[in-house]
Amino acid sequence: MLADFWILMVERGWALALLRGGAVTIAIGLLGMLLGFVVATPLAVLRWQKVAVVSQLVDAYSIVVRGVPGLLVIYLLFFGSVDMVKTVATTFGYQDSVDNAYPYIVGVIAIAVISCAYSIEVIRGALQAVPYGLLEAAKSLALPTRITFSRITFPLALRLALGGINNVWQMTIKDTSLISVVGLQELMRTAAIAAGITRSPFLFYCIAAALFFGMTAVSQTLFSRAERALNRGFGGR
Amino acid sequence: MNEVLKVHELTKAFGSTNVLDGISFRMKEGEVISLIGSSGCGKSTALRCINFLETPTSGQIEFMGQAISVSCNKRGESEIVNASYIRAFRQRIGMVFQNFNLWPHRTVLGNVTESLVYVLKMSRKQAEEVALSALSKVGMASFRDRYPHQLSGGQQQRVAFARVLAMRPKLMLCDEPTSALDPELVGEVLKVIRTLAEEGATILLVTHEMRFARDVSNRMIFLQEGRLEQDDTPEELLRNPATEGVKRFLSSVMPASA
Repeated sequence: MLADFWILMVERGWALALLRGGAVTIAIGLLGMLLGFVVATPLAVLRWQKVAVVSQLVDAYSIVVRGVPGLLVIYLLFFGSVDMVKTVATTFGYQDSVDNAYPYIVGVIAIAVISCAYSIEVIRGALQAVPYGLLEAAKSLALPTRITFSRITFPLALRLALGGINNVWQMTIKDTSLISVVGLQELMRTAAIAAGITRSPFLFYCIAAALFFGMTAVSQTLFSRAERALNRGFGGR
Repeated sequence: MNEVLKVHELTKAFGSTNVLDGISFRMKEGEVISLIGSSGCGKSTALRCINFLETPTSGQIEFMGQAISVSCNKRGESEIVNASYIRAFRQRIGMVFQNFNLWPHRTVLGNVTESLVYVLKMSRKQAEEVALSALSKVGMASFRDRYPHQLSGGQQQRVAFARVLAMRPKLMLCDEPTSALDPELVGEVLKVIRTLAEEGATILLVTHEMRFARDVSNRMIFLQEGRLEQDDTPEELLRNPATEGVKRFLSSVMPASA
């Protein structure tokens, strides 16, 4: 039994393949989440400030993306753009590099588009929850708007948003499995291939589950730590 | 003495209700004025209009010789002349709030140094020196590294005073500074205000502590339904209420008034 496992994992090289798949999952998840968060923050601020027109557009985007399955977003993004990109790339003679890199790029963008929609709501809610009196105090002391935002509003909102951001991250890392449909060999896809070839689906899906769980467990610890750091001054628990 | 503040025909309407209905008064340097009146009479709104936390509907605020006037245009929007002075006003007008409004993620010292560094552009070291001297003035220097939630309400309000004092304001606006405090903590905050008053600070105070207001103020201004009904020395106002409204208010807040 153990010998079989050894042969499968090491001699046939599936361990390495799974690890590589896991690395792709983490990379796409992290990049997608980060990109989504970076874009979501200014959009959430615009929403929070109720800037005319822009605010409604942001709202529409967030409602639509959160209202349809993630898989659909990925299909639309990938198959909606793949022909156009191919034509452009072929014209300029970059056919090969596009074939290789395109799934990654679309993967990251798709994950970002989805996580961004959720992050906007989380950040906007947190901004709204910062007590207005604290901002009035800053105003009354003539603190520049930019300083007030970066040193008072944002840190306080971040603390309030952390729980929600954690949720978005958990969801995002799991959403990366959907990217396999565009041919990207992330963890889920690798496990599926291995399961098919070796005829041991139970084993490989268990390993995939364990790896996913490992990732979320590690990030959970990091989030708890961040929460403790940000809870300074709030009678931290 | 120099005139610090001139409020001229200040009006504030929320929708169709006139919260302030053309009030005017002046303050000289070193004067302490208490704004009194029953709740909802516009005291706090008047205070908040002076540093433009609330935009007046119309009227003029002149502070240290600079005037900002607001008029109401045809579409019912406020038009501010010299809006660029607002920041300068706020820099020299300190405000203390009913709920302290200390920033919870900053230590006591951090709360005080923030505006010194980012408004007065002091170096971190210089800001800390100034902050500590302001904190020792209110007896809070030894709490410099605590966070607001570790302090009592009275202590938090004293830190809020230090945060304002460190900016060396020409005028202090105090919006019911003791209303959110437990009764036994009111005294320590009143002591701070009294000390500042005795040292010649110019203070505009909204308060319900009538006896304290009488003792510490040079003048008392009574507002009712957004109108200024009486502006007098405390002795005069208490002895000779100018209107029925003043009389009724005084008898309700100081039943056995001496």
